[in-house]
Amino acid sequence: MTQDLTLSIRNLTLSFTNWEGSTQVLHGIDLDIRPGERVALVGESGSGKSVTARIVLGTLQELASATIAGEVIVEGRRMQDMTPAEWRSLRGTDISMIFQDPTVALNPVYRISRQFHEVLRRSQPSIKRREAEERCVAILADVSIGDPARVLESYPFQLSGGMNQRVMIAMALINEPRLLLADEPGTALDVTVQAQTLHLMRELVERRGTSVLFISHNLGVVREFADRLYVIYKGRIVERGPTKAIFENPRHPYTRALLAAIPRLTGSGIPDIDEVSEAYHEPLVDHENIAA
Amino acid sequence: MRRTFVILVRNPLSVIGLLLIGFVLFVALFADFISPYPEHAGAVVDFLNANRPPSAEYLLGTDGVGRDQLSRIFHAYRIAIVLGVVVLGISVPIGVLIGLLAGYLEGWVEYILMRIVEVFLSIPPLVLALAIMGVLEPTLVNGMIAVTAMWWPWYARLVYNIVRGEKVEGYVLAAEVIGASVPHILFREILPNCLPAIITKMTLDFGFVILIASSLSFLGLGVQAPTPDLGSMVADGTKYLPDIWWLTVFPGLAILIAVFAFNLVGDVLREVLNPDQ
Amino acid sequence: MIVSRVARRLGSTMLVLLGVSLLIFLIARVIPGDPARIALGPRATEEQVIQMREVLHLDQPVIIQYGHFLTELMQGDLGISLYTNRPVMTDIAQFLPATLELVLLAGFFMVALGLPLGVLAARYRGGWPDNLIRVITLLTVSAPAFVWAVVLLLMLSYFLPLFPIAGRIHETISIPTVTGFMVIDTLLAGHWRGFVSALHHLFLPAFALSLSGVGQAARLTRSNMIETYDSPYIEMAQSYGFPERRIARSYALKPSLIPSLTIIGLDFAALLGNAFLVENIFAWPGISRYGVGVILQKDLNAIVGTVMIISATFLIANIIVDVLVTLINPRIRYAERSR
Repeated sequence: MTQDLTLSIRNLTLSFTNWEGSTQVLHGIDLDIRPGERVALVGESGSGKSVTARIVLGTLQELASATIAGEVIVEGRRMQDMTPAEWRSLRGTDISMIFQDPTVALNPVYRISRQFHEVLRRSQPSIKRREAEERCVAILADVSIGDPARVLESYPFQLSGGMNQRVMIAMALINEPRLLLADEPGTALDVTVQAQTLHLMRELVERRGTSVLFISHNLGVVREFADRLYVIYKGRIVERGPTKAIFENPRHPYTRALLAAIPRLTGSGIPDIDEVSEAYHEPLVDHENIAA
Repeated sequence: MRRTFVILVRNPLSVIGLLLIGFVLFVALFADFISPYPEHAGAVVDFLNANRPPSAEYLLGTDGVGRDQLSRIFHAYRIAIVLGVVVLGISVPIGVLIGLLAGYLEGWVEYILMRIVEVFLSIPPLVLALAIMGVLEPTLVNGMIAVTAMWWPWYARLVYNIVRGEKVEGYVLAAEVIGASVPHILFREILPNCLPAIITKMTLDFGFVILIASSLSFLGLGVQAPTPDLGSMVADGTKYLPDIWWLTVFPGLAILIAVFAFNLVGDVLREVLNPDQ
Repeated sequence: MIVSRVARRLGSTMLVLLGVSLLIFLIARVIPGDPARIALGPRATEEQVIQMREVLHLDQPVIIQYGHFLTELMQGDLGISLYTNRPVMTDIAQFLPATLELVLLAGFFMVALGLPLGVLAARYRGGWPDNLIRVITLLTVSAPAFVWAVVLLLMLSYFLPLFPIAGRIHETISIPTVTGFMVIDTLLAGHWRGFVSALHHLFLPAFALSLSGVGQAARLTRSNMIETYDSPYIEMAQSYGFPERRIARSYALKPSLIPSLTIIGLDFAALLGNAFLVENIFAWPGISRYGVGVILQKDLNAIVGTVMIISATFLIANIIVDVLVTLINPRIRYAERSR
């Protein structure tokens, strides 16, 4: 079963240790993404959604203070069976990531072309300049950038936020990854630009059959984008199921609170669910009866 | 506050630093009681025992006129500590006040104050102190004046930069809206937010004041004989290198220990109090 | 665009120098007692003192005195040194090159040793190389340059006779003075052995002078690198699996160098000041012995002149650093172009 999944996470736990003691951040997460599927992981800040993405990427494991247990399987490869170096070789090739704020995630002192080139060399170490350029121009056209040549010659600070966002999407997709992690993409942009880029991203991944793990605090944003939803609260998945099913019939108290908060959340507001209820700790509500 | 304290007593570096500071302060305070030859802090001459190498009798050896080096170093610590307290005690309030005013009040006050600060900062620190000592008589008090004059601009600039950032914060605007007075806003609202940075810098600077003061007296422009001073002890000793090495090495080591102690604590403090710097 | 930036920096530097001249003039005028009397010594006659007061413009109001001082300064005239009886400018021209030679090599050590140490510490953040470098750099900044000078002299000149004890060049070699920089003059004279000897003599004093700066530079580079490492674009580079060494070298280093270089420029001031301490130990014939001499003699013209020249040197060094920073930071470069 797990052989067919792009990503499969089983009973993932994470705790951080410092001089004050240790804090448990994830309490056993299960999550699956099928090939070509777009899955959203939704929760407020501090719920553990971003660290989940970084564990899949393998970057969190490098922190000495992080203790991680459980299974992560990407394309049938078990992370626990691989060395960090082997897992790293998946990054930028089979797995790639889009970050929240495109203007700070691109390196400020290098031109866009150079950063693309670097990414391309992950899958083709000896790629020729000419070929790299052609592929950049092609993918920039895919993300609806009118004059790719100018953008390639620019530094990130010379481009608008929306433009940088497109560049980042292009960069994430240029090596045809199997799995794309998107951490609050576009939250730093204004609402209309965010909507445009998400629409664009959806088209692109659909066409390429890329699986996506979309991380967001905003249920409103993921509604259009995701096939399935996981709602996370304090390191536990509290509700999961097809997007449609959850929006039509939210059954977990926390999901209902999140849904009620949507109107307040357009834009980059931090989702604070005002009153914290004991009911949020109720067990998982599962809308689908797929084998887990 | 409590968290800061816990970290300071748990980090091995700051623990060593705190122990060394405790040692230096203890020695400075009780120099008269723990020195083997307290009278050697003054103008004592004992040519019979001149230039003795370190021994059980004279742990760190004796100088050219037979005075016990250990006793003189203990007493020199006393002067170094007094100097640090006085210099920082004067220059920090002046610098902070000027920084607060320049940062909060815009327009010509800011312009003039910061240009003055800039002028002071563009003369290499030791050179400014040297120039001031050049026109004054080389005494302990004048040494303090010279070092104070070169020290306050650093605090003015530090506080100025923080205030410029804090000025637009919500809590300052709120205080302005309810009509709080300028002194209230400066000292009650903004100053507390500058304190972590100021305290960190003061800890580090206590060591550096000792270092600069010893440099002045090394050049013969600080405390005058027969008052013991670490810098002038090294300077006197250099004439006898390499044979009578203990005359330079031990006072030099004494400077290193005192400054190192404050640096260790200051360095850990910086990590704890200003995590973003 | 760099030209216009330098021009603007030069303008503001001139303004600051004007302030320095006023400050140093005021300091020189608060001297207790009569400068003319001090200059001439206790045995001068009253007539001589009055004459001297006229020469020094002391008979005129302070503002006028400052005016005279400024006009003479503009003409490159710093007055006559009462200590050497020569124009202050001539004295400084004679002694400053030796000091600059020392300071420049120390500045080179600061960058060449400090930056790599900082990078190393940041890469092994929290590990033993980081802790070791932390303790070493804290030690180097914790002692004045003259203490390091004594330690190095004892260890590397007396105990292990690797380096000469004093002087700028081997005593049997004589080189005609052209620039005043021994390293350059030996090359101009085509004297290869002299060049090696000059470098050999220069090494230890410059190294002693640089030690605290090396520590500062390393600590600063470490914290800049760590700050850069926490930035989203490094996370992005890591998330694309770029090799760790490549990230350290081309992604983290360059952005971290920008603030490091700026501060290293400011540290140049400390080098100029500390040169006084090192020259003393190595009997280096630089500005220090002259400076301390004129201070002890209360030679006002020379004190004012020395401080002015040293400050100007420092400010010029900062302009050079600023240009370097502009060259490696595209953001400033482009802001300038669109200006």
